[in-house]
Amino acid sequence: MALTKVTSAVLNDDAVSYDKLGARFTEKQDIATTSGTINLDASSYAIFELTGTLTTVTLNIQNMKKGQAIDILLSGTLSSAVLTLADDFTTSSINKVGSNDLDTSATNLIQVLCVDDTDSDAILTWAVATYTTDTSA
Amino acid sequence: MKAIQIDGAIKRYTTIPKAWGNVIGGFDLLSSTDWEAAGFYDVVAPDYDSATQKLGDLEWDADSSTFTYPVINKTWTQTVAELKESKIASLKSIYNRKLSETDWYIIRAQEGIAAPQDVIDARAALRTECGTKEAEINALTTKKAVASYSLPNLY
Repeated sequence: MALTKVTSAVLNDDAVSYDKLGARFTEKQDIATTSGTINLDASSYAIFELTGTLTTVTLNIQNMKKGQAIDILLSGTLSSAVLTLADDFTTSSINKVGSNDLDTSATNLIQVLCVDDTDSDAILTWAVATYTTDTSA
Repeated sequence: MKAIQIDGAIKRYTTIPKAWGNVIGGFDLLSSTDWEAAGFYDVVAPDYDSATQKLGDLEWDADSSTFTYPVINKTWTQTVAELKESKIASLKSIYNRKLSETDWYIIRAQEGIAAPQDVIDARAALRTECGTKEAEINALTTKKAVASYSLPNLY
C-alpha cells in the first residue's frame, strides 16, 4: 500500500523548515496596477505590495483560510486613492480593528486576519498603520 | 453638512469621513452619488423666523431626499401684556444705551458749558423715535406680533 500521508509521529520536532512552507506563508507579490479591482490571492502570497499612484482601487482578497494573516503594503502615492476592501466569500464581514485610518499622505501597512472562512459567514478583520523605511538601525 | 441614518438614529457629519464601510480610504473623494448610495445625504436648514419659530429635531425628508429640520411655531407662557412689557424694556434699554453716549454733554452743560444743539436735537429725536416704537408695540394684539416686532439696532 502506497504511503500517501505523513503522520505527525513521522515528523521530528522542528522538522518543517521555512522552505517547506507553502507559498501562502512565504511569498510576496509586487503589484504595479493602480486602478480597478486588484485580486490579492492569499493562496499564493503572504505579502502584497502596491507601488504605484493608486486611484480608485478595490482590493479583492481571495482564498483566505481561517487563521491566515496577510500583509498589504501601500508604498506608492495615495493622495487621490479611493481604496475599498472586498473578498471572494459569498457572505462576509470585513471588520476594522482599532481606530487608525488609512493615512493617504504616508506609506501604510494593512494587516488582514481571517477569523472565519465559512463561505456563507466569513469574517475578516483588518488594521492599518503607517510605516517608514528606517535604514539607520 | 451631511447626515446618515443608522439604526433609526441620525448622525451629522460636518465633513464626509475618509473611511466608511469597506472603503478604507478616500471615501471623502467619492461623488455625491456614491455618498448617497452609502446613505449620506445633504442636511438642509429651512428658512424660518427665529422670533416666532424654532427648528425641531433633524429628520429625513423622503420627498427631497435630504435631512431637514421641521419648522415649529413657538408658544409663549407669558401673556400679551407681559410680552409687551418685556419688549418695551428691551426697546428702552437700546435707546438708553444710545443716549448714554452723549450724556456727558448734558452733565457738562450743568457745569456751564452748553451742549451742542445737534447733540440736543439728536437726543430729542431718539426719545421721539423710542416713544413711537413703544406706541407701535403697545398697539400690537397678538403674542406672535409682539415676539416678531423687530427692535432697532443702534450700534
